[in-house]
Amino acid sequence: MSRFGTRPGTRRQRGATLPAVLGLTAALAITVAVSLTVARGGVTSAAHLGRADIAIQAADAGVNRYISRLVEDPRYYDRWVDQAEDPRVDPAGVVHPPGSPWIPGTPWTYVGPPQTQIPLQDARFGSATYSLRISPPTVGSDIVTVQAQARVDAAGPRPQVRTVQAQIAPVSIADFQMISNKEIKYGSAATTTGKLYSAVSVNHLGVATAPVFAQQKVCSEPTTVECGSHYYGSDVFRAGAYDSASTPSFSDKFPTPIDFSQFTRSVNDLRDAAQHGGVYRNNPSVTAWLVQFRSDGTMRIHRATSLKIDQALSSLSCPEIVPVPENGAVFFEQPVIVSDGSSLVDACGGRGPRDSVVDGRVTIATPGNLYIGGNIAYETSGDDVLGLIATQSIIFTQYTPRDTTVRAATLAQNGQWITSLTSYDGKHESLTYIGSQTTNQGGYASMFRTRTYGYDEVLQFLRPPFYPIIEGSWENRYWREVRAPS
Amino acid sequence: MGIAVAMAFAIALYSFFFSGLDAANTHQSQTRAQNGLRTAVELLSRDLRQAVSPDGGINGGIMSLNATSLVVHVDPNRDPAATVPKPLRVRYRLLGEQLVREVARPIGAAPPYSYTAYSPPVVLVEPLRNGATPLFQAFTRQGAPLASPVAQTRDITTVRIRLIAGQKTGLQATTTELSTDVTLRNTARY
Repeated sequence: MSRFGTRPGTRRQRGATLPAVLGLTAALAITVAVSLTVARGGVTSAAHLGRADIAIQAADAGVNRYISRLVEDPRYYDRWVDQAEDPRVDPAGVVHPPGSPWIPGTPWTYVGPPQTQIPLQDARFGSATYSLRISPPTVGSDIVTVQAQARVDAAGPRPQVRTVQAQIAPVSIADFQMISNKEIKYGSAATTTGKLYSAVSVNHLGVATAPVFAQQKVCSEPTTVECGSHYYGSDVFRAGAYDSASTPSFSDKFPTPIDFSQFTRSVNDLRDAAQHGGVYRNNPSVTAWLVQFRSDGTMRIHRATSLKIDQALSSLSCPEIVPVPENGAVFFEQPVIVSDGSSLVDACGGRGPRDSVVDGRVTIATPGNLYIGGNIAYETSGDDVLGLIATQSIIFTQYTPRDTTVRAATLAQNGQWITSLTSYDGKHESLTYIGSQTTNQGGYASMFRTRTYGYDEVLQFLRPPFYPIIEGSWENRYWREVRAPS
Repeated sequence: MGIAVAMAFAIALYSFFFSGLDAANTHQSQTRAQNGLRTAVELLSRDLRQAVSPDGGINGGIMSLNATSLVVHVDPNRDPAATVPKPLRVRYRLLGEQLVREVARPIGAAPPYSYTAYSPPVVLVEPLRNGATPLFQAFTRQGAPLASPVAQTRDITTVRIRLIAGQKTGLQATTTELSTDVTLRNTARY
């Protein structure tokens, strides 16, 4: 027997261990490979989501950049092609690169896919850039539409492109049912549906379905006008009440309280627009102007004489008929009366009353008092709107009808919002006011036996032309992701 | 002796195999949990970011929010020309151990819309192990937390989403957590 010969019995071993080891190892290898593939998929997916998030943030940065421009200059879009904007093409086909000045009032288009790419960062997921496209407000609207497209890792194998569209607009004082620099009190029968603001206090005994803001106190106290304590109960304040002691507080909502002196800018803009394409009247010999809006889109303007405008009119000239101006600006340097509830006959034989039906979007302003002498309605709700701005007071005259209905946004910049008489005179049963009231020195309407105040929801999206906005209040109205422009 | 060596070798081999299998199972369980959470957080973030008033600003984009439930209005339309929202009503809530998403569709041509009943729930994460940790928490513009349930949803500017999902680490039940803060873009300042 050889020294190296086969030992007895070993011939029956079939080498099963090796295949078993190989099999198990192979199975394990497959398991590990699958596991690693799944893990790698997870990492890839996480990176993909990370890039997508950065793209959204970059696009949002573009929107915010443009908002900051509009806060500085509300008509920025009409004066400049922004540095981050795609080149604009004017109606003559001339291309205006980013950063160039723009001729106000000129429409524009964009051609092809986004071209301008403003770099924002170059971090872990690759460089992020964005470009902007701007749509100016349509007639009668404030909404500037900003479309921001952002790219992340554009040169990489898996670039991410996201597009955001934001409709941005300023907050108008007509977004509020009532703004007052004095205390406000509503009775137990009152249901207010618009936002209320007071630089002092709001004492509400009824129900407020929209938010209420008072710089000092919000309450519901029947025995006083000013608030003695704070009350925010949802039985009265259904949509929240904010004052010096609430969370959030008044100052959280209004870091800078509304400053009535800032409205002068709107009045000046309106005067300027009235002189350039609007309706502008300045005749020092005229006591007051009487305006009647007609449902055919025109206005009748009379020269009025009166010893006391709030009490009675003495005479009216023949009416001058003018269309409601396209730019919506009407300015009278002398006091103005809107509508006439009397039966006074004018110099051409026309007899009152002269109720107004507004067809168009228009704001009347005057540096003096603005008088409301009769009913005011809109021809088409949701399409027409009227703003009335008095640098002094808004006054309801004694020749308003027994039952008066007025729909308008009104501003008494330095004065009050009042009726001619301080108490019921037996001739004025009801006042129904639908709109927005802004008054510096508070007011009353006690000449009418019953008063009903409602907010006009249309004012939320239809600001009367040149009606003041709250300084620096540009914000997103509708922000969303959209498909990328082709 | 040979048998002993072979057995030791086999035990080592099987141990190696089963530990590999455990690692793979752990990996799979964790990946599944993380993917579920990631998808849920992404969906929630997207809906919250774009939450929009269903009635032109009278009410906010968030209809209600408490620790385990959130109802938002969101319009998924991506057409740049569709500039007026007609939002869906989307409800996220904890249903047993599941985070589910349900959708109600608007009825009517213009606001205020009425809404259909909610669709059958779609499970986003399972099992959810938040326990006493709130899934949703709301904050004001100044970062102050709002009590749950939020009384005035108009005050909500930021929502914190915190999801804790169950997973397996070997044979042990563990959890994984994903959290993010989402700032609503369509909130009214006043």
